[in-house]
Amino acid sequence: MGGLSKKASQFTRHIKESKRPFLILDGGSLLFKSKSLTKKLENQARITAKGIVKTYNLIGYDAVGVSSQDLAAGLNFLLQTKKNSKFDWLSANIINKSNGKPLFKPTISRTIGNIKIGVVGLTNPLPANSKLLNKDTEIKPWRDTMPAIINGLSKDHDFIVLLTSLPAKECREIAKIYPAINLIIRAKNSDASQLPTNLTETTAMVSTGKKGKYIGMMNVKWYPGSTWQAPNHELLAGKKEERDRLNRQLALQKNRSAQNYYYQKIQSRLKVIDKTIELMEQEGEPATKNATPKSSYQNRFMAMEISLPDHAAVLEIVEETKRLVNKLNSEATRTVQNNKLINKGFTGWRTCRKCHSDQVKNWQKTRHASSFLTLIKKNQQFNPDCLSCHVTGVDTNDPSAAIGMPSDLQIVGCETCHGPGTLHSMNPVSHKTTPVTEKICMNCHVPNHDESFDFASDIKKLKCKF
Amino acid sequence: MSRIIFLFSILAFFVTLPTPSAIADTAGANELMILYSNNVNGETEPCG
Repeated sequence: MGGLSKKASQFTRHIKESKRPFLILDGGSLLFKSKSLTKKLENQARITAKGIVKTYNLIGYDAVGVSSQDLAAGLNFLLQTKKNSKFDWLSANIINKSNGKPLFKPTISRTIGNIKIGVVGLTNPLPANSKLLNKDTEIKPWRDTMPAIINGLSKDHDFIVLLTSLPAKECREIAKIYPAINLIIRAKNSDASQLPTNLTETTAMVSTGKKGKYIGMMNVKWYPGSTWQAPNHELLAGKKEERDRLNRQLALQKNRSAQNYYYQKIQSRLKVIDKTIELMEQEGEPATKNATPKSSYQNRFMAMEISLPDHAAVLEIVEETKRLVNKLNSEATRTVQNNKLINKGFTGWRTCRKCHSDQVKNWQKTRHASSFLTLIKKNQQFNPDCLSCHVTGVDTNDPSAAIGMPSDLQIVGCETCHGPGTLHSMNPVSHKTTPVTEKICMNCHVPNHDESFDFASDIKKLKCKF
Repeated sequence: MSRIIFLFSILAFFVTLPTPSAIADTAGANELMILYSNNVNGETEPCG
């Protein structure tokens, strides 16, 4: 991904270029990677969250929906974050039990041209045993809070937007019950962006893909009291855009094996898209039965543009965040010598070299041998989120194990692919190493990180034949 | 006389011209742009 500094540049450019008035909104799940944070990673996550909020302040966001994932560092942290935010955190259903009042703003109002817009936030529930909320706080079911909110908003607003992290099924139900809601921006934990779908005649729903890789831009023409135009035209354009993008990706893969996982994935997606386009074109545009103007939208998902210059002020925030994360974790390294990996039977590449010097010489010419240097150059060498794919033997589900590890394992070494080698080094006959499979490489070379990875051809670069 | 008519017609022309703010209010009065995101998931910067 291009990072927040690129994202800020992209926003600034679109705002400058567009002559239309605009709103900047976020559906939620902004601050954290998961719904719960391990103790080791909590402080780092808090530092990062503060950096993200500073960036959103600079970009000029109007509002962000509170998702239960944004509570991962506890309610008090989010309430403190709210104080430092220049935008509004919206939730109509996080309630103080004793006085029945919401802890966050439930709604905001903006007037753009002739349209008075209301924005409301709804938080998805936490598991019953969660301790992230305070004792006197609860996340109420939307059925209890929405009637009063929507009744109030619909009296004097022309267009209502819902920011939520609720499941799609519940969003559909909300759309049916409350036709006054015109747009749902849903925080959806999926890689792919979701084109706008008309849930009802008056409510459309949309989501961008996760990890901030995309910005959505929706140009809306809204006639108060009207319904959405049937979305065929918009959807068809979106599907064609996706087909073009997939064909470009397939062209990049032309020298790769047809058995390649990513190649096959693109091909199967293309088949589905082609069929959908065919059906949509057969269906054609629906006939307009009356002369009442219909409201319409045009939606675009903009991928992060790596070529864009960094937004100077945001880059400074990102660099400061990285400095603070590095400082935090390097201090932890000084006090705790991490022996987790030694205990798991990892020994380090120098031990392997005693018998496999030719293989080690070849390996030293590859980028695997300088994987940790890559992080040092980017000032990310103490960031557990990065470390798991740049060192040896760390389970990607427990990246904190990478902090304070022995220097011999601070590379993508022999044991990353062949498994722990301590026993093998003591008795190679009775303890064989693990054969290398594509599955092992796919722990890190996933399309998200390495779009062109091809096991059959890339494995040859390592030249590790015995 | 013709000068007076000319001056009046010029004046009438300027009186009937809408002010710039009126232009901004009527053009795209029903249009708005929404820039949006979701699930940033605590991401700030690529690893390397």
